[in-house]
Amino acid sequence: MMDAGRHPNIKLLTYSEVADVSGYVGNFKVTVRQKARYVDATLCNACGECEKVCPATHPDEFQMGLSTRRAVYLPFPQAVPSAYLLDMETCLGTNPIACGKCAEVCEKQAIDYDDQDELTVIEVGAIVVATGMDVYDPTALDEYGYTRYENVITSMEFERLICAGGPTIGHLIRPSDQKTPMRIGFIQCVGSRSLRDGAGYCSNICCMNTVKDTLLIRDHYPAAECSVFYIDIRAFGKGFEDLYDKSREAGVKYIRGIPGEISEIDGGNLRLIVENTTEQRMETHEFDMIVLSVGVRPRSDDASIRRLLTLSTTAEGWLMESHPKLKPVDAPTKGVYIAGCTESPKDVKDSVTQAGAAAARVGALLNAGKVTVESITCHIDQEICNACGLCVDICPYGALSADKKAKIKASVVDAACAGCGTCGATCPQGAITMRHFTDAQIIAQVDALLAEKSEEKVIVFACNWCSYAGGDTAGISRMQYAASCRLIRTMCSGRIDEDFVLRAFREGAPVVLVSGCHFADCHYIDANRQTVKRLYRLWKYLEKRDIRPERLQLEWISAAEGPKFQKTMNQMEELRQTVTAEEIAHTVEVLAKEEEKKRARRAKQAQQRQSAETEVPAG
Amino acid sequence: MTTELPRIGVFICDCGSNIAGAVDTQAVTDYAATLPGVVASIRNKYTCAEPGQQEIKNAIVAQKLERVVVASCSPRMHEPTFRGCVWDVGMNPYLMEMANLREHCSWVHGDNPKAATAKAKDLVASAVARVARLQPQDEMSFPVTKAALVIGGGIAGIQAAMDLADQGHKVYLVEKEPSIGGIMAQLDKTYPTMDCSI
Amino acid sequence: MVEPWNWKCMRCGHDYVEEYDPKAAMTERSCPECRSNSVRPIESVAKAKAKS
Repeated sequence: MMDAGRHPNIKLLTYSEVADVSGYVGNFKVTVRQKARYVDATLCNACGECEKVCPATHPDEFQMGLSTRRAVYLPFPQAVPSAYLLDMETCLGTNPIACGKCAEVCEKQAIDYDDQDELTVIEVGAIVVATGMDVYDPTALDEYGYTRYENVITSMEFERLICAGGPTIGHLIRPSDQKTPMRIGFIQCVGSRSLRDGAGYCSNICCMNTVKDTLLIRDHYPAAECSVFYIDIRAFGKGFEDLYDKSREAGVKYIRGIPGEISEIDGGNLRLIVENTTEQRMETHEFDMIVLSVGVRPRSDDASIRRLLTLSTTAEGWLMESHPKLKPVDAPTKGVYIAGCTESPKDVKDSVTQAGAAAARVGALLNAGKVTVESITCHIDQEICNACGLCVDICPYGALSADKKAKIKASVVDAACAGCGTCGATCPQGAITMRHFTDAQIIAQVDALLAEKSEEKVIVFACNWCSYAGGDTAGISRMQYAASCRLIRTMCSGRIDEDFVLRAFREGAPVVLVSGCHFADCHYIDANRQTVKRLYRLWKYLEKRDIRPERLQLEWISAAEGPKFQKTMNQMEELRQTVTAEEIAHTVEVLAKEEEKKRARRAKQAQQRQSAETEVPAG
Repeated sequence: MTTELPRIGVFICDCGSNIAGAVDTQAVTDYAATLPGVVASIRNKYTCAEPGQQEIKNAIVAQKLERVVVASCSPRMHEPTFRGCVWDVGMNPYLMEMANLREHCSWVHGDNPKAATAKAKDLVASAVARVARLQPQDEMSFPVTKAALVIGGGIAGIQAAMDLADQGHKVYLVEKEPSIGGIMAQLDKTYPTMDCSI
Repeated sequence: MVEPWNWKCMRCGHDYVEEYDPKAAMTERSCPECRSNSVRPIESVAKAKAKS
C-alpha cells in the first residue's frame, strides 16, 4: 500500500470516481471526479490535533461500526494517503459559531471548508477494472437473528475484533457484555451456495477464512472451544489442507450440517439447532458467540463503470471476461482489463495473480505503442447520400456528421466508428456500406442457408458479443437443442436491416429470430434500441400483409446465458412446426410482389435523379 | 461483384472427435467441393495445429486460392489464428471466413448426427457464399497513449498499478474511498500464511 | 407521453397493459407471463377505448 503511495509512476486519486469515459482502445479520455475532502491532503501531516477537538461522532466504517470516529478523521492508521478528511454530513457546521474547532487547531491550515469536488481529465491507453466486491449482509436471514441477537456477528466484524488495530486492540470480546467468549460457533456458507437468496455460487474464501479464524482464536485463547458448521470444507489451494489439518489438530470441531435456527438464551448466550448429517441426528449446541461466515456479492455500486465501459456481467453479476480460459483478464471492450473480485470471488493470492496478469496484458498493449483497429467501419457513398441525417441521429458514438439544411452529406470519423452497423441498417438510401458486413454478404448467407429445405430451418440473426457468444457458451456446456436453427453473425443486432428479415421470409423461412445483447450489455452503447424499433415496424408490416407476425421473434441473450440460448432455440423449433406450407407459400408470394413494387419504385427514383441532373444548366 | 467467382478453399476440421464425433466431416468435405467457387476442399484432424495451418498455407500457394473458409470452431475463438495463418502467405486476413461447426453444431447436436451433419453443410455453404463476396480490408493503426488507469485501490488494483508502474508506465489509480487498501486492509491476518494484511 | 399501452407477447400470446412512451428512451421489456423479449406495443389504452 505504502509502496503504491510513493511510487513515482503512480498518481493516486483517492476519494474519486470515474465520471465519464470516451475514446477507444489506446486512446481513452477519462474524467475523474475527486470528491471534496475539506482537508488538503498535500498539507495534512496527520498530526491528529483536529480529531482531538472534533465533537461530532459517527460509526467507524473501517471498524465495521464497532467503534466511532470523529467527523474529521483518518480512515485507518495506515491509510494511504496518510491524510485526514472531513465528513461534512457528520460535521456540526463550518460556521465558526456552530463549531470550526478543527480549523482553529490545524497548524498547517490544511482545513478548507469551501473545498469543492474537482474534475480531472486524464488520457490513458488502457483501463484495469478492479472494483472489488461487497460483503454479504446476512440481516435478511431471519433464522440466524443477525442484528436481533447482539452476539451473532459476521466474519468481517470478527476480523476487526481479533485485530490488534481493531477497536478492542485485539482482545476478543462479545458485544453484549464485553466478556471474552469461550464457546464460539462458526456457520459457513452464509449467503453462498443457496438459491433461496439468489447466490448459488461458492464464495471461495469463507472456508479458509474460518479455518484461519479458528487458528487465531486457539492461538490467542487456548481454552476457547470452536465449532464450525459446514456443507463441505473447500480447502483446495496450496497449503490449505495443511491449515485445515492444523485447525482440527488444535481441537476445533467440524460438524457437517447447516444450522436451521439460532435462538437467544439466558445472558446473551445462543442456542443453535442443527442436523448433523454425518451422525444423522438433530443436535443442539450452545455458544457464547456465533460468527456468520458471510459470502461475497458483486459490487452494487459499479453500474456506472459497467455502463461507461460497456462491460457485461454473468447472471449473478460478476464481470464477464472475453474468454473464460484463453482471455480471462481481458474485458470484451478492447483496451479494458479486469482483476480481482469484480470478476469472481477470490482470495488475496488469486487477486494478486490476476492483477499481475492484467498488468502484463496492459503492458503488452502500451509497449506495442500502436493499436490496430478491425476494419469493420462504415463507408458512405457520397453519390447516393441525400444528407437526410438519419444516420447521425442514431450513431451511438457520434461518429457521423451531416447537415440536412445545408445539404452537407454524411461523413464519418473512422477512429470513432466502432462498426456496429446501425447506420448501415438505417440508411433509407442504401448509401452506407459496412466494411466486412455488407448487405450483399449477409444476403448471400441468408440465400445459401435457405437454398434447400427452407421450410425446415429457423434463421437466427445473432450479435457477435452476446447472443452468438451465448450460443458458444451453450456449446462449451454441451447443452443439446433442436438443430433447425441457422445463425448469421453480425457485430450488433443494430446491423440487422429490415430487408434481411424480409429476404429470409421471401426465401421461404418459416421463422426468423433476431437476437442481441440485453440492454445493459449492448457493446455499442445503445445501438440495439434501433433493433427493437425495427422489430416493431416489421411486425406491423407483416401483419398488414396477412403474414403471421409471430413468425418473427426477438430475444436478448447474454454471453453467459447458455441455458436461455438453448431454451430459445427449442422454442423456435416448436414455433417452426406450427408454420404450414400454405403459410410459407403465401408469404413468399406476397413478399415477392412487394419486392417487385420496390424495385420499380427505385428504378423510377433513379431515373428522376438522372433527368434532374441533366436538366441542371451548366455553370 | 464480378460474375467470375474467386477461387475458394474450404478446410474442414475434425477437432479430434470434438466435431467428427457428431458431424460426418467427410460428407461435409465432399459437399463443400460441390459449392460454387470451391476449388479445394480439405479435411483435417486439427486445423488450428501447426500441420493444419501449414496445409492451409500450402493450398493457398499451390492452388492459387483467393478466399479461405475454415470450418472448425467459433470465430470468437480462432478467427485471429486463421487470419494470421492466411496473412503469413500474403492473403488479406479479411478474406478468411469461419464456419462454427463445433460450439454451434457438433457440441450441441451430438444426439442427432444426421441433423448435425445437415446443419454443418448449411453453415459451410453460408460461409462459402459469404467469403466469395468478401473484400480485402486494410486495418487502421492508431498510436497508444502510454499510460493506464486502474479503477479500484484494493489488493488487485494496487498490485496491477504497481506492476505497471514498475514496467515504467504512468498509472492513475482511482479509489472511491479516502484511502486505498480496500477490503483487504480490514482483514487481520490472511491465509494460508497467517500474516498481516497491511 | 408515458401512458398505459396494450402489449402483446409474440411468443405466448399474452395480452397485457404496460406504460410506454414511443418517444422516450427505450427500456428492456419482457412478457410478464413467459419472460420472452418478443413483446410488442399494439396501441395506447386510451386510443383503443376511443375506438370502441
